Amino acid sequence: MELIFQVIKGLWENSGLYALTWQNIVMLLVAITFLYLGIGKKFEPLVLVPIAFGMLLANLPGADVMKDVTGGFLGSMGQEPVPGAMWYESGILRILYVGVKSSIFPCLVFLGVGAMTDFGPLLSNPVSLILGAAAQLGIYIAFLVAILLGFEPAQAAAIAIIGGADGPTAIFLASKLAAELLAPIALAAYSYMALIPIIQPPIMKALTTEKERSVKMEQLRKVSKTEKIIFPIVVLMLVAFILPSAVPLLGMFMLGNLLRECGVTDRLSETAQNALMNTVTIMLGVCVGATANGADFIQVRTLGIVALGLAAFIFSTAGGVLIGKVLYVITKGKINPLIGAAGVSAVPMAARVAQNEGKKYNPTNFLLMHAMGPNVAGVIGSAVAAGFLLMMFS
Amino acid sequence: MNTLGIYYKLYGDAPMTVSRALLITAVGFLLVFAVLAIIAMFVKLMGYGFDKKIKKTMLQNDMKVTDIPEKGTPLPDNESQGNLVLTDVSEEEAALIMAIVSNQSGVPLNRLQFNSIKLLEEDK
Repeated sequence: MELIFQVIKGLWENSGLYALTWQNIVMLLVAITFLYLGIGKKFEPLVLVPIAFGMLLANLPGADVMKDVTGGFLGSMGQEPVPGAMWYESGILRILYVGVKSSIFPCLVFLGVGAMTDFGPLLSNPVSLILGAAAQLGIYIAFLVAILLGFEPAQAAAIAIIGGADGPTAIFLASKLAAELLAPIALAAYSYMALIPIIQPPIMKALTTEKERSVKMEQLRKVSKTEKIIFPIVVLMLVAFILPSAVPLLGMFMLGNLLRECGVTDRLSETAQNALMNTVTIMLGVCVGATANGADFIQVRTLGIVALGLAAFIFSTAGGVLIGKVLYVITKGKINPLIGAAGVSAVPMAARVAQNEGKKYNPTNFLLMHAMGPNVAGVIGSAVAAGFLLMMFS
Repeated sequence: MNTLGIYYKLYGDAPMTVSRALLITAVGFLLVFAVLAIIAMFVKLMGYGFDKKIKKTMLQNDMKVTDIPEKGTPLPDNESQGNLVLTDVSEEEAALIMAIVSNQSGVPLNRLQFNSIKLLEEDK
């Protein structure tokens, strides 16, 4: 009888339920909420579902998917090494996490994004670049506020990049400057990107008049293939001469774009856009989600990061719209300020929001292609901002 | 190569003051503007050069737009003619529908004839 009791006791003590903490429960609920938002509400499901599932896996007690037996070699912090254990005995997601820690995954995502990006709208309307620059305002406002809240300079820079609305850039910078904050930063960046259709419209509406929102923009100029081939090469060199630290991200982005545009590497472009992009997105998403372990994640500091990220997003949107208003005046009403909001680089959600908002006030308005210009300019802008912050605080 | 950030080279481990943070904020934001403005200027110049080249090529080709084609001759790829009645459909939506029909059917747009495009209500 006692033996049965001992076995049951042993089973209980080794069960997941026994090891379950309230932090795990909270994170499991957050994961389920994210899964609902991704699957049920279709908020950025390609990103949110892997992240949420990674979060779920990391908070299942006893599963040890993020266990690091090397004591830090695989990117963990505070985990003791297991004597005699080999690196491959670590948790499966911990091993994959090396791709995040080394910035391989963010850079490969940028390769895929580059292969999916059409610079045509930007090339036909270069003023888009100014809107893309203006929409980085939130990064610097958030940096300032984070410093005032007492974060270390490198931490403040890593948090601020959430305002770039660019997940891979946020992960790239956070892993370099403040790896201990990677999970909340990545989660905030991707969550707010998913919530762009909710966050942006009220700001766009508050900062513009109905007349401005109704502006119908002129047809875009036709861009030649040669221009599209020259652009990624020259821009990469220009940026590299000024900010070499932006090259890993921007280099992969422009390589992807060149594969798309040069016309002789269709197979590579196809792979970068689909197979490679999807594979890396799964691994990146799951690994990022898995860093949100309840014990480390549920802290007051995390709430601060989440709040700062939201403020950064709001200011970035406002920056783009406000410069859009300036351009509206300068061009005598030819530019619809709503496309400024697309300068936050969440491609293509932000452009889609500008399109939908514009259509509400003028049903015959098609702003999508006009908004794609600032949208892809925002990708370049956030990579440049990340390069600057890396150069300052690495 | 020394990989230490500029801030740490200048100030070491000294805490960040508000004035320094403001300075970094201003420099960082202006730098993004400057880099993207340089790119915008390059794009503008490149576009100007290419537009000029295209116009020159068109003039050299001596395009005779006044020539009237014989009846039944298909229109050139970039031209269209005739009237299209749109009911509750914008011009952009109509253009999109025509492009989709052409793409799906494999028939070039200049060989297709659309008489009308009308919005159908699902519950009618």
